[in-house]
Amino acid sequence: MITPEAIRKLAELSALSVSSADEAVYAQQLTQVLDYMDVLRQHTPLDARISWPIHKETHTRSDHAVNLNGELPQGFHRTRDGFPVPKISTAQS
Amino acid sequence: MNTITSYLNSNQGCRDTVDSILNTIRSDEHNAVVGTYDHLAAQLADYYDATQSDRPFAGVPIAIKDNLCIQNELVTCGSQILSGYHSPYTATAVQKLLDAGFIPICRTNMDEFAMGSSNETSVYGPVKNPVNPTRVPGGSSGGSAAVVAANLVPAALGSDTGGSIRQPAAFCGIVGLKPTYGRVSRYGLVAFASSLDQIGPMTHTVSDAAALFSVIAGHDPSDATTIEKPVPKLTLNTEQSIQSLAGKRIGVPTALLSDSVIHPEIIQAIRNVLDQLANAGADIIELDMQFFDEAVATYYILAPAEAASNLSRFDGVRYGYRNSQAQTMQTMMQTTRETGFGHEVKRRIMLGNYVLSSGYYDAYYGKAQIMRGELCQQYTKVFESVDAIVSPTTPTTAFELGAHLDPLQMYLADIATIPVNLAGVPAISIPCGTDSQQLPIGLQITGNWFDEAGLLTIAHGIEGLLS
Amino acid sequence: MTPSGIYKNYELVVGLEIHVQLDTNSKLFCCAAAGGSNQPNDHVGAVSLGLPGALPVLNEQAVQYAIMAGLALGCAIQETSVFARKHYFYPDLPKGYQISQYDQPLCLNGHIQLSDGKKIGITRIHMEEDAGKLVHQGASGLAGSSGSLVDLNRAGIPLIEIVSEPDIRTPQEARQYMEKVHEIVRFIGVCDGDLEKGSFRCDANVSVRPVGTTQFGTRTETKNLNSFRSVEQAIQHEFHRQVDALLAGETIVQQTRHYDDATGTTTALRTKEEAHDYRYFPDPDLKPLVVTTATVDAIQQTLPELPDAVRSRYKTEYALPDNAIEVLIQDRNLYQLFNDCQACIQTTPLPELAKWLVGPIQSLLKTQSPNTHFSPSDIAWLLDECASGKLSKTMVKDVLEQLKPGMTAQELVNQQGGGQISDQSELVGLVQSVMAENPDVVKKIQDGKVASANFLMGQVMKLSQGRAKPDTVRALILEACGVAV
Repeated sequence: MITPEAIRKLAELSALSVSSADEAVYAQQLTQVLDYMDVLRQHTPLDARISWPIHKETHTRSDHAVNLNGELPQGFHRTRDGFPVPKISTAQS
Repeated sequence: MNTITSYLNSNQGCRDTVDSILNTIRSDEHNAVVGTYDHLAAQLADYYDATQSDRPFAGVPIAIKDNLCIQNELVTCGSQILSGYHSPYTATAVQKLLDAGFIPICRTNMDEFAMGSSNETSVYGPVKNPVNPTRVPGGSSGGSAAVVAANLVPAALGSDTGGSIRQPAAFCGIVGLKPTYGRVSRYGLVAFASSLDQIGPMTHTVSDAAALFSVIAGHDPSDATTIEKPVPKLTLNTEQSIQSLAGKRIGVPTALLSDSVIHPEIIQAIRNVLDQLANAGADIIELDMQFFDEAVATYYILAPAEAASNLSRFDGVRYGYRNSQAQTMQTMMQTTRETGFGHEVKRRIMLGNYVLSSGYYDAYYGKAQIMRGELCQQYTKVFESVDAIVSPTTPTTAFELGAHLDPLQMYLADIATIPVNLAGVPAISIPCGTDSQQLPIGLQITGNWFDEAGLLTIAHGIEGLLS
Repeated sequence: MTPSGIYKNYELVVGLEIHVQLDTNSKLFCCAAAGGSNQPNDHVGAVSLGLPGALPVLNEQAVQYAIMAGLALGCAIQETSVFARKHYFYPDLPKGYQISQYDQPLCLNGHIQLSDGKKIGITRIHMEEDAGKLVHQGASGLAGSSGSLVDLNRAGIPLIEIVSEPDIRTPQEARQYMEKVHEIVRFIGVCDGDLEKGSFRCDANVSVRPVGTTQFGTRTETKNLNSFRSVEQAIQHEFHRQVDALLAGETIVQQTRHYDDATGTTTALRTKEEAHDYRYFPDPDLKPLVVTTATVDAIQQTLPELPDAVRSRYKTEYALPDNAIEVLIQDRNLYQLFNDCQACIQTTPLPELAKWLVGPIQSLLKTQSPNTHFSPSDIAWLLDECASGKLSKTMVKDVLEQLKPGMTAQELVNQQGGGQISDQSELVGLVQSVMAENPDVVKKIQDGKVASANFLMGQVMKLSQGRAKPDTVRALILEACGVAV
């Protein structure tokens, strides 16, 4: 049973600012979906010897450096000295 | 019918073709297209008009789903949070298309961040099914399905995480292939669920799907989940494909022929196909496949978890939409994401973070991983005794726009397509008739890992039988 | 150094977490360059910008360096380790998660030995990406700033995190542990160890408990320890602070603290502990890292001898002076040069070679860098010639300075006339001609001013282009002047 309070905590974890009205709606919807998950929790696993990923070859790359040179196209918030962000609050929420 | 060959054989110049398509798109009422690559398409078309190119598909137009990156072009995933964002690089799959001569014409509408089964969650508004505009085209590759079904282009690229290529293909009456996980590079595909996403072709014919598959598949050093296996190049011949059906072992999961799960008219259409297959000499084998409900639960634990993680990068700091009124960094991120994401996306992000959060990880994510292993095990066993699995693609035909199914109902509609993504096996949906409302019915054929050659041959044979 | 007064009833328990930047060309999962750059956001790529559609691919050199570090620190390299995503939102974290390793790290169960023989255990070493940097505007730090600028040059640089067992019991031990780990990772060549640049960083986990008890007290984590000295001081301060608090009846709050070098004190970063839920799960874009025993063995073969073993060997087998040993260990180039020269040298004793390397040759390397024109065989030949008296020390230095590419030392010496003059008659001739030109100086010497012989010696040296043997010349001059030698 997901409460609106739980949604508030999830919203914080997800960096979403959910309104209190929406909290109740999401709570109900998530409860419905998670209740359905009980079908999985009731399932007793058989002895499954296969796990994901099935194909496990490790792929690595050589240590050659290539930078994304030149101007970034539109849609970036970059200034010459970095990406600007407003002040990082140190206040307790 | 719009096929790749018809474009290759056409006498019309590339530029004329491209301009004519772009014109038609401008008056398209299905809302399937969210942007056009005017400049890129014109440049390429002019080039192919002027040069005798030896690229196998020189000048063939193709539509690209709005979650695939092309350098210096917009890519927005049907979301406000990526508004104005142009990618600095091109997705490997798209680059392969460009190298083969294809001309990307337009960006197709999609469910926001590929989360949805009806193409109703896009910030650009819903897509209308060209077969019947009061109906949804399916999702999340609804726009790609619609442009092909409306004969605007012969082919489109879509992406499939839980059925997002196959289900819209079924709803719109076209062919949609999801290759084996690891066949096609995901570099440049905006990630939804990393262990489930695959890019695939949406076309009118199985041969076109096969041709496109050969172009886009292959190991990519930029994607560590791609597999180093040679990509088959198929030349499909209808007679040969039909003949090769004889002796093929075709499995049918009885759970997906039950009328408590699947609409009776669809069951009828599938049974029709099975009869024809039997006549062509195939062995029809009933399968007692299990865990369909568990598979849906597993998917809706794993996919939102991976999505919540993948979408963490959208914080307004570096690119895309940003709430510049915010006074603090934290508020900026929270309000940017709150405004930038739609409800379905936010729902899945919170669901995903819930199942990953400490205290719940083992109960949900842990169990889902185990179930996933069991599904893989089941497919392994099944493919010891069958060459392919046949089932309906969807439980119903295209439902009405604005039907407002609640989230859980929507999720359950993916029951036939989801297990395929969880295991990573390849599957294709081909049209197999219509229902009493003339809405297309899709037949899903599932193959063994990396057996696209076998799968496509069988699909081609069935397509031949049905035509 | 045992605590005194009220503090002696409490035992200090310290564990150190050291982040080591691996000295690779490119980043851990992104192909952008890993070095620093003056221009913000210069060394970035799709992955380290957190662009949509970007995918991580593991840097094989970083894996090799991590395994080398693990072996050098006595760890067992795990056959299978898993990369996991660690989630939190911060502007310097472009993907909104850091790719790290959680419950299946690359290395387990290592240890190092301090100089007094005490073993400090190493719980684990894992690989992870570094975060970007924030430059705060309008204030010197985060507090009071009006905004920040994000620079992602550092984001994605490969790190290994070395976590020690809580075996450390004094601030001095902490410092020694940190210095020892620093020495090792620099020596094997996986890290440049530049504390100022931030390629070697340390956090301290500190707790206290009454002497004689075994249960751990609540620990605090102290950050911003930018030098070996600050580690020692911060821990000392934190020890006292915690004991003072306990004796005053307070409880220790689990928190992160910031060390201020200027005041030598730590302050709490947050007044209430924010329990981060990092939601670790295995990164689905990366396969598990499988390292075979064959690979580990191959890497073990290439691992150089470790500093303590080198010290011991240099002292007992070669009798090198202590200060020379330390310099050689600190300077990898010099250490390598010593090895190479040692292979060519024939008669020069090794302590002599060492003195030359850590003295004049080290200076020459600095002035001539980046390209030096003398080879180990040049050095070896010159020193051997010097040992047999055919060349003077000054001549050796001159030759090393003057060598041009494409020429060996031997060739240059021959060109200049072939080393020190040892032919007596030639030397006598030189002395006589100088004495003939300076009769007044000769008179001074004959009158008893022996020091004036130095002037004549200088003239002989000039005339002979430095090739005359000074001692012999002096003796000849005095003899010729009739002064008893």
